[in-house]
Amino acid sequence: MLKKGRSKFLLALILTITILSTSIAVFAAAPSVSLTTPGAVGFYMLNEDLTVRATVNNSPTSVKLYWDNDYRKDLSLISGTTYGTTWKPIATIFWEDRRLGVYTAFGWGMSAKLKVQATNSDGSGYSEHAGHVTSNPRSVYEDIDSTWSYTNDQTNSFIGVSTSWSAKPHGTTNTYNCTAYVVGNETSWQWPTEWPSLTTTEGKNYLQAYMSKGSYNGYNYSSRPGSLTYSNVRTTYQPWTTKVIYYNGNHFAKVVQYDSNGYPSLLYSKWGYAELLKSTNKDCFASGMYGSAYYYID
Amino acid sequence: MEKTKFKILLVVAIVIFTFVTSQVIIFAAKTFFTEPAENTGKVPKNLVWNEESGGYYDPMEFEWDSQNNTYIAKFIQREAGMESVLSEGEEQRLWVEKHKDSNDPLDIALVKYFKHISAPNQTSGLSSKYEPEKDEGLKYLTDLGDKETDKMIDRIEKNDVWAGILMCAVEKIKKIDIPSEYKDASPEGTKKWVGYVKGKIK
Repeated sequence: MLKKGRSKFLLALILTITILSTSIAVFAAAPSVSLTTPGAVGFYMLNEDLTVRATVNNSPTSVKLYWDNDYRKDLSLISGTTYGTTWKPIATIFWEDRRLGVYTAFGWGMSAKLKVQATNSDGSGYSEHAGHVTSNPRSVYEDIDSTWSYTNDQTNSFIGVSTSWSAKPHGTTNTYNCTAYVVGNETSWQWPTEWPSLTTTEGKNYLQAYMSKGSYNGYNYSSRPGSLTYSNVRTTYQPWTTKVIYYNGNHFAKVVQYDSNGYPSLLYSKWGYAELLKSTNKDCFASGMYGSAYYYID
Repeated sequence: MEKTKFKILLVVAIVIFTFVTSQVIIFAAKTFFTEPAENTGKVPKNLVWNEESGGYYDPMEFEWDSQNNTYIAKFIQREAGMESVLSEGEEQRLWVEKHKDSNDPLDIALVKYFKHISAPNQTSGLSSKYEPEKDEGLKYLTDLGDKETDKMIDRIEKNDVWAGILMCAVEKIKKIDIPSEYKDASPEGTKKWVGYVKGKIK
């Protein structure tokens, strides 16, 4: 009888403890955050509203947006557990940003983490994604490349982030440009100062020597950066075999993919200090600063 | 007993059906392109057909990333530590943050130059060929004149983050026509440049 009573008491005690601990676990929990938009590793268009959405549980008292660990603005409840806002990255100089209290990105493009952090009385939780604010506004890209597009942070023409520049004379390190990219180098600015206009006969000879790691007019390019070499600089396109295109506005693009007729359906090129971008037609630069296709290199 | 067996078989059947259906849906959601029959044997051997993107590519140069629907270059030479350096104009930005309140005339001019090159719609940096005569920001440095050139050369010699633009400024202030083989802003190139310029100034 006594044993039965003790067992009932123990059972009741265990039940009570279980219920209490479950209640504590439910009510005393820091927010859990899942950043849903933008996606993981995205490109954020300069000067344009970026939609931010996050699922936040456990009744947060505040939900805040951070860029590069700097507070930008609050997210508000949209419905259920979905919180959201829009944030517009604007290029300006950073100390003006801080002084004026304007939420901005820096010039040149910027890579950092976009973080949503939620807090309640039991603590805080966060979710973050890597992103890159583009170095230029939409109009600049549209003016240069007729095939450029930007739908959202995940679907766009951007392939790689922008890099630094300091007057970018030949040899400047810690950055790279179109020439460096097509020869396979990502660590220096390549535009040999001895090059005359490349559209001249002499310019073509220099280019031929550079691309083949040869020499011309006393200049030896055997140790130029980049592992890729090319044998020919031609004035006509060669289906299937042209690998690099030179544009007469001083730009190079690398052919990545050919269509069923052997013409480029995808090209990658580094736009000066700006991003590495994809284009979908070899004549896409004709109406912009990079000009028309002039040499075809293989 | 028979009922139990039936129940087990039903559950297994449902699991298999669900798995197969999901795989079919995933497969159907992706569009696949067939290689044009007329190209068989015509396309150079270094190129392969990409049935996911509908084009030919050279797998020696690029790798297809099916998950992200993009090509990754295999030919890029990277040096250790580049990732942390490359993502933006971080070196210059940090330099300016550190020197923005400096009273040094050269620092002030460089901060102004930084503001100039990082202004919105400043597209001169999109060109690969640097033409000092088209760089309107260079005047912030050349306006300093001769009295700051020794300091500029000293910073170039130390491979300062602004070495490149300082070389251009010194050349313009001192009106020195530098042979093209000395115009190289790499660490090795700046040594040669400094040697040449110092020889000319003497």
